[in-house]
Parts: sequence; C-alpha cells; structure tokens
Amino acid sequence: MTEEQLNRALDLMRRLPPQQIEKNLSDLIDLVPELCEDLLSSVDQPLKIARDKKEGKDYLLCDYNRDGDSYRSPWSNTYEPPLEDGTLPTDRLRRLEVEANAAFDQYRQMYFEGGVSSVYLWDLDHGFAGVILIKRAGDGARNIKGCWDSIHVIEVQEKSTGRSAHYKLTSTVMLWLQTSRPGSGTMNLGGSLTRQMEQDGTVTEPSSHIVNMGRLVEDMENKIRHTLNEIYFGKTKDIVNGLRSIQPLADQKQKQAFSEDLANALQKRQGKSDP
Amino acid sequence: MAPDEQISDQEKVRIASDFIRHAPPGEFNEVFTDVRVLLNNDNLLKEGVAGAFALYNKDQLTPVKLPNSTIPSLVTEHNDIGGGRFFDPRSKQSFKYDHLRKEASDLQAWESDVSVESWREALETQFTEYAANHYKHGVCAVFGQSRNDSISLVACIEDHQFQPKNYWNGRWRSQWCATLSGGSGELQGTLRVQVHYYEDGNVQLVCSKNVKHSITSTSEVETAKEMVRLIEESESEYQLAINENYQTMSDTTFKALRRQLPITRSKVDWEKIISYKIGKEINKTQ
Repeated sequence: MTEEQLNRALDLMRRLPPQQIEKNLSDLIDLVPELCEDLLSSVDQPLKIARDKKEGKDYLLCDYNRDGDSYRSPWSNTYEPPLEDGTLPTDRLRRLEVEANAAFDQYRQMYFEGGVSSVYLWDLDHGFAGVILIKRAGDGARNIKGCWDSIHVIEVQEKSTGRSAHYKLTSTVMLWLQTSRPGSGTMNLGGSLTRQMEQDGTVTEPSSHIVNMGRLVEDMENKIRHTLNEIYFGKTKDIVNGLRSIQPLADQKQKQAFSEDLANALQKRQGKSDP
Repeated sequence: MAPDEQISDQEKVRIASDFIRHAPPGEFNEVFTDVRVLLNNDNLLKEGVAGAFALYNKDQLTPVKLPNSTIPSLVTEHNDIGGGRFFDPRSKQSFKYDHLRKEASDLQAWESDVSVESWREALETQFTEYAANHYKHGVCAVFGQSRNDSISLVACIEDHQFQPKNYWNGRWRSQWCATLSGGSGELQGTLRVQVHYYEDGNVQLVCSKNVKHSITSTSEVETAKEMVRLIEESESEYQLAINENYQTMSDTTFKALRRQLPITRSKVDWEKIISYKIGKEINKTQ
C-alpha cells in the first residue's frame, strides 16, 4: 500500500502548481506521515541559502547535507545548529569534496556570474555519490523576479581496475519567473524539468572525477537550459495563444477561404492546360 | 511530527479539499484518484471533500453539454440554484449536475427574471458573437439579475485545450460583471489563464488580471455593444501584455540567470580548473 501511496504522492506533486511546492509537500507529509522520509528525499524543493559565519560564505540546503534538523556547511564541514555526531564524509572523500566545491564555484561564476553553489559527497559501496547545487536569483530588472535552482545528483561507480568509472547523473533544474504589472496583472511562470544522463570516464587520479563530473554536469545544464527556453517561452506561450485569438477568427476564416479559392482556381487552370 | 502521529480528520479534509481545488485544468480525475488513495478513507472523502468538487467545477467555469441543445452551457457560481442544480438562461432550463461525472440530467423548464431579460438577452447576443470570433472552442454564458434599483449582468467565457497524450493542458477564463443603474454603470472583469506542461517535469503558467471600466447605459442593444467593445479591447490588451512579458522574460530575465556559454565563448576547461587548484596547493607549501 505504501509504495502505491508514494507513487500517487509523486504524481500529485507533478500536477499541483509548483509555485506552492513547499506548502504542498508539507500538507502531503501531514496527510501521509509514513511517507515523510521518502518524500523528503525524492521531491525537489527550491534551494534555501544559509550563512556559514565561520567562513563568511553562503551555502545551500538540501536533504543530502541534512542530519536531523541541522545542515552541514561544505566550507567549514560543520553542522549548524551544532551536532555531537553528525554524519561526515571520510577524510579521503572530504578532500575530494573540497576540490569539487572549488571547481564548481568557478563553473558557477563562469556561467551564472553570481549566485551560490555547494557540493556534498557521500560514500557508496563501490564508489561514491554527490549532489551539486546551484542557486541564482535575478536582480528584479524590468520588474520581473527570476530564479534558477540546479539540483544535480550523481552516482559514481568506480571500476575494480580503478582506471575508469561510470557516472550516472539525474538533474532537476527549477526556473521561476514572476511579474506583477498593470498591463498583464500577475503572471507566474515556474516549475522544473528533470533529465538523466550517464557516461564512462577515465580516472588517473582522484581529481579526474571532478573533470568527468564537471563535463557531464556542464553538458546536462546546457541541454536543459535549451529545453527550458523552448518549453517556457515557446510551448506555454503557444498554448496561451491557442486558447484565444487576438485576430478575429472570422477574418482568418475569410483569409483561409480566399487562399483555398485561389488554390482551386489555379488547379482548374492547370487541369485545362494539360494535354 | 513523528511518523505515528496523526492529524485530525478535519485537517485531513482541509488538505484533501485544497489538493482537489488546485487540480490543473483537465486533470481533476487524476488528482481525485491520487487524493482518494492518499486519504484512504472513502467515507471521509464522500462526507467532507465532496463540497470541494462543486467548488472546483464552478471556479473553472466548467462547460456542460445539455442533452437537448447544441449550444453548451457553463457551471458557475452565478447559475447555482442549490440542491446540485444549475440553470441555463440561453435555453431557459435548469439541470441536475453530477460533479464527478461532469454530466447534466433531469432537465426542467426554468423561468428567467423577466425584469432584466431584455438586457441579458441583448448582451448574450453580442457576447456570443464576440466569443465565437476569438475563442475557437469557447463556451460562453450570460446571467442577469435585478437588485433593488440596479441590473446585474454576468458574462463568462471558457476555452480550453486538453492534450494529456502530449503532457499538457490549458484553460482561459473570463468573467465580466456589469452593474447598471440610472443610465450609468460599472464593468468589472477578471481574466485568468492557466497552462500545465508535464513531460519529465512540472511547469505551470498562472496568470490573472482585474479590469474596471465605467460605462453609460442607454438602450439594451447599445449598452451591450459598448460592453462587448470594452471587453474585446481589454482582453486583447491583456493577451498582448502577456506576450510582451514572455518576450522580456526570455530576452532579459532568463539570459541574466545563466549564460549559454561562458564569456570565453567556449565550454569550461576542467583540466585547467583542477590544475589551478593543485598549483595553489603547491604555492601554499612553499
């Protein structure tokens, strides 16, 4: 019963307006408390920012750096509020995590020219997994509020030779746009798209993982960015304009009838001149 | 909350009703089934949540086919006569409406308010022609009511496109209320658009706008023509403004969030990024 309920819950989250994800998720957990942990780990939410006061840097919150009610900062590697024995990555993995944060920090600057990023890694039996998060809020120019949230979850299976690895990436990008203006009232265009990609990569040293993950995430984000552009500003706009026609339909019917008459007349003339 | 703590039945009903009422256009059945399985209590569903089905259908300006008429009507708050029945002023009938099956039955003759019928009919004629001219599959209805010394008219249009096989649905709703008294009046409009796209994702457009106009009321036909003229103007202006926003959102807002490529015009050199870090480490130890 619980598995069917989880599927129904996820279906519901794909249909309810994403503009109210947090409220919907909270209500869903209240309604079916047994699904709490499953829902928190499988429903993507807009990323929240916290401040690492020690390091003077912002970091992002998600289920993967949460332990109870505390969150681990990727900069200081400590929990806020402090935890006695919060889950920490192993030393080896932490070194990789530090490098990954630095690398994706640069990636973020090059593509987003602002915003916040965080990378969290955790061990698996034959490899490790991680999440790469990016949040970029717009500056409100032209009276439009915009925000981009990237959630990239990557699974790295190290081959026994140690010279290659298999990377499996599941990415969700959330894009939020809203405006309130006299001419158009309130307009809220938001939500997310999810895609999956996987590929193999050569590993010569630990840092190779960062190169391989980086390339995969970059390709994925570029693809999703393109799709977001098409769906948000192409598809949904076309649907709106299909619901109502600014041009009177009678005019269009007239134009269509005229061009049909013309086509028929041309056909008749061609028929006559054929031997 | 601990996994074994339960909220009250009242709270469950509130949550289930909220979910139902926020179903995107064309997806009521799917949301209903999801909620039914999650609530897992059909009695509670029938007793506590059934009201939400009616509220949803009325809010959506749901079109309804009448068995003995070619022109459909709408299910709204303005033609709700209680006991699960609604009236259609165009065909002068009332009908029982099944909110789950979305079907009309048990048609009976229904008498309109004679004192406003000439005004209502005049507006219905103009409005129906306007709707046919801008909404390919639109359904419209005009309701009239007398209130003390004033005439109250409500004109609604609904048009939708449901394409679940292509993972999208959309609906336009217009609701215009006119209050006329002693040669003048006010025309108020609420325009709403909702689009849901859900192939490998969940993207929704939710728009609404309120409009107000002052009008002069002369004869039934002239007033109806003036109202429809203003309605056409406002709705087209609204649709243009939405399109303009789309342009700005894609040209300006979206581009400012993430570039297509870095300023170098080529993808990131990841080898360089990690070697820079190693270089920094070497410098640190020296």
